[in-house]
Amino acid sequence: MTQTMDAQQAVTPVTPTTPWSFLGSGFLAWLLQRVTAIGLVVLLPIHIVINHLANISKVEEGILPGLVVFSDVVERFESPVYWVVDVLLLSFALYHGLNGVRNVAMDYGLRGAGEKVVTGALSLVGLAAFAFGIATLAAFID
Amino acid sequence: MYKPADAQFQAKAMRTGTAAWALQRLSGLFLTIYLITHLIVIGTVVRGEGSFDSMLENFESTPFLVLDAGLVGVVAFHGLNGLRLILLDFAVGLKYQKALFWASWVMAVGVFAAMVVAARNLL
Amino acid sequence: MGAGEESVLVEAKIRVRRYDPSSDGVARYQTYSVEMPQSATVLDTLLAARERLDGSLAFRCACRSAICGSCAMRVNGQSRLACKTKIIQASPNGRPVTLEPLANLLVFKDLVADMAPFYDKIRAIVPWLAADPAKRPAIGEYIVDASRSTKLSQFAACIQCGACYSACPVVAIDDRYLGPAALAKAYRYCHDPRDDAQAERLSRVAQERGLWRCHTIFSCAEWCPKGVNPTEAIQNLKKLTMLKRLGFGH
Repeated sequence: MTQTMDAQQAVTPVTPTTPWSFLGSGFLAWLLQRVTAIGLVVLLPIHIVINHLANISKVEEGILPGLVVFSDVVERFESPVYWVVDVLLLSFALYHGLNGVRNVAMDYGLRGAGEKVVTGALSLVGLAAFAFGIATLAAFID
Repeated sequence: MYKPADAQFQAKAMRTGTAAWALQRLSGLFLTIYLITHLIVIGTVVRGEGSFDSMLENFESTPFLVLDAGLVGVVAFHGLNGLRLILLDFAVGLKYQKALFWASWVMAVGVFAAMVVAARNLL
Repeated sequence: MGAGEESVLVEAKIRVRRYDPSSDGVARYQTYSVEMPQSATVLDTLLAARERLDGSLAFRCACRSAICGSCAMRVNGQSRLACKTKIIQASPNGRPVTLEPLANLLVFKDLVADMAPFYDKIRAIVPWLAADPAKRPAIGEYIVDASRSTKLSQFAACIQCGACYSACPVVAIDDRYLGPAALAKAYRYCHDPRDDAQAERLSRVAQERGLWRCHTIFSCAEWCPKGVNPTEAIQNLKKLTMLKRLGFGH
C-alpha cells in the first residue's frame, strides 16, 4: 500500500469529478440510507397512527378503538394518497433495512466476490418482498 | 506474530459512543427481521375479510399490545438516534453527541410509555 | 509538586503481556513489582522493571514527554501513552496494571506492535501540503486566517501514536479500514486553504474502506492523548463529499 508521488501528480485529480463519478464508491448507498431514513421518520408515524389509533369514533359500533378491520382498509384505499404513502413506506423500509444489513456485512470486511454475492442476495430478497407487499396491498382494492 | 484481542469487546472500552453504535445496529437488525415478518403475516392472511379480522383480533390481547408498544419504542429509539447520526453527518452538534444520545433514549422510553397508556385507555 | 512528594514511594505493580517469537511463541502475562516514587508514570515503571528485574522486556519509548508517540499501548485495556499515565492513576487501589500492546496490530515482541499498516494508511491519503504552483502567487507568503489556523492546529497536533487506531472498534472488525488517524490527517490537508489536492484526497477517502465505515463511535476522540478529534474531521469530510458531489461544492 506504500505509495509516493510528487507534488504535481498529487494536485492533478486522477478521478474525474463528473456527477456520476460517485457510483461504485459507496457514496450513493450511504446517501440513500439517510434519505430513506428521513422518509421513514415521516411515513412510519403516519402508518402507526392510521393503523393503531384509528377508528376512535367507531367505538359505538362495537369495534374496538384502534383496531383496524378489513373494510376500514378497503375504505381507506379508495383515496390514492394512502396508496402512495404505503408504497413509499414499503420501498423505503425495505431499502433502509436491507442496506443496513449489507452495511453490517461490509463492516466485517466483506469485499470483492463476497460483497457482490451478499448485495445480490439482499437485492433479490428486497425485490421479492416488494412484489409480495404490492400484491398484499392490491388485495385491499375492491 | 499474533493478533491482540479486539478493542470493542473489552468492557472498559464500552462508552456512550460504542453503546449508541451497538444499540442502533441491534435495533436495526431486529426491525429488519420484524419488517419481513410483518409483511409475511399481513400478506398471508389477506385471503378474505374473515381471516384478516380474526387474526387482528388475536393481536388485541394485552401481551400483544405491550409487545406492540415495545416495538414502537424500539422504532422511536432507532429513528431518534438515527436523526442524531444524520445531524452528526452534517458536522452539526458534535459537541453534544452524548447528550443527544441520552435524549433519544429518554424520548424513546417516553414513546413506549405513551403507547402503553394509549393501549390501556383503549381496552 | 513539592519536594516532599518525591520521597513518597509506592509499590508499583505491572502485569505485562509477554510474547517472544524467537522462544516458544506463546503469549503469557508476567507481573513485576517495583518501588517507585508516587509521581511515577507507567513508562517510568517499565524502565525501572527492565533495569532492575528483567532486561528482556521489550517496549518502545523515546521522549518520555508525550510528543513522540512511541510509547502508546493498552493500559488496563485503554489505549494511552505510557509516559502520560501516572501509575497511581492507572491503579488507584494498588492492583496490578495490565499492559498490552496496541490493539488491531500484529506484535513483534512484548509491547512492541507492528506500526507498518498504520503508517501505510496515512501515506495513502496524500499526507502533505500539495500546492499547485500555477495557482499560487510567485512570491510572498500563503496567508491562512487565524480562525482556520486554530481549527487546523487541532489536527496538526497528531503525533501518530496509534492510540486512536487501537481504540477504534471498526478497525477491530475490519483492519483494512483506513482508520481515524489517516482520515483526520486527510481532513487536515483538505481544509488547508494552501492546498490544491482536495479532489484527489476526497476520492481516496470517500470509499467503502474510508469515510463510509465510520459510525461516529467517538472512541478515537476519547482516547487521543493530544486532544485530536478524528470523528469531527471525518464528519466534516463526509459533509465536504456530500456538498461536492451534489453540486454545491466550492
